[in-house]
Amino acid sequence: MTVKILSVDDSSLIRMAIARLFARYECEVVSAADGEKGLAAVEQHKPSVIILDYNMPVLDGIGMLRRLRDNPETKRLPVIMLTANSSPETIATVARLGVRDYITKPFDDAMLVSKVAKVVSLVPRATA
Amino acid sequence: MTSVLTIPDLEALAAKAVIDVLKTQFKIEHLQHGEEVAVADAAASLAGLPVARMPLHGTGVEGSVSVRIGSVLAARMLETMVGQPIPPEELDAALEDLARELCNMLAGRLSAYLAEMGHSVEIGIPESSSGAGPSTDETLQAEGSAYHGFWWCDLQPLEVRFDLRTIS
Repeated sequence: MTVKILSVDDSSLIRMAIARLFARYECEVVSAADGEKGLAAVEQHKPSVIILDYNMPVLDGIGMLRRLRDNPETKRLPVIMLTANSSPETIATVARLGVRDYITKPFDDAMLVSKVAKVVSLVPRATA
Repeated sequence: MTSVLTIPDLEALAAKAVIDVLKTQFKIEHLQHGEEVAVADAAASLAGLPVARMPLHGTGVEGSVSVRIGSVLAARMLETMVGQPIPPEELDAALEDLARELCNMLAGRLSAYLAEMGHSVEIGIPESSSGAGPSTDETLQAEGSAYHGFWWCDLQPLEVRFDLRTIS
């Protein structure tokens, strides 16, 4: 089964950076620009893991996370927060909502890959 | 009622934030803080470029972080993040997105440092606009700017401004 990574961030640069980063592995990366679009992407793509921003327009990361946890089909879906927000209150809230990890921006590429690799199996793509 | 928030060494915190963000996210290691003589040159070369601003709200504290990036430096930062040059037709939008994301990261670092000092601060969603730079925000200037500096990388400027006020 193909590993699917969903990146939800209102910054197109972060979405592109994540797509670049995981392009070297046997996985599919899909993305969404806010929490509402993220929920639609979850429904459509059935991701293996979500890399989720916190501060976003329309529906923020915590709003999306709560909706995921309220849905029996997605309540155990692994979520890794990737956000500039390091407020202790926010970290405590998402911890209660069962996130697998919490990474603050700026982020180190290798560290993000290692956190994702703890959740899903990342196999390097064969190079030509 | 507002007044300038007293942070013992905000310039050092700003330096720490700028160096951390540029090194970790953009692999930029050789940064210089602007000297007085270079400020006029930096302001001139940044004129008309997008300015990103992030509001900060907290318990007893409010303010903002704003940034503006020289276009050649911005193109280098974009290429580092995305892994390839940005097509010319997408460059303007990418420059604004970059300024917002840099602002987001700097505000995040600043709020983390303030939390260590006992100030609880929430960051918001950054906005960007073209035209007037951070140094021409008259409202913030009237209340007193806490930190406003220029940084250089390979002769390309980066303008950073942190404004913090206590609120009652």
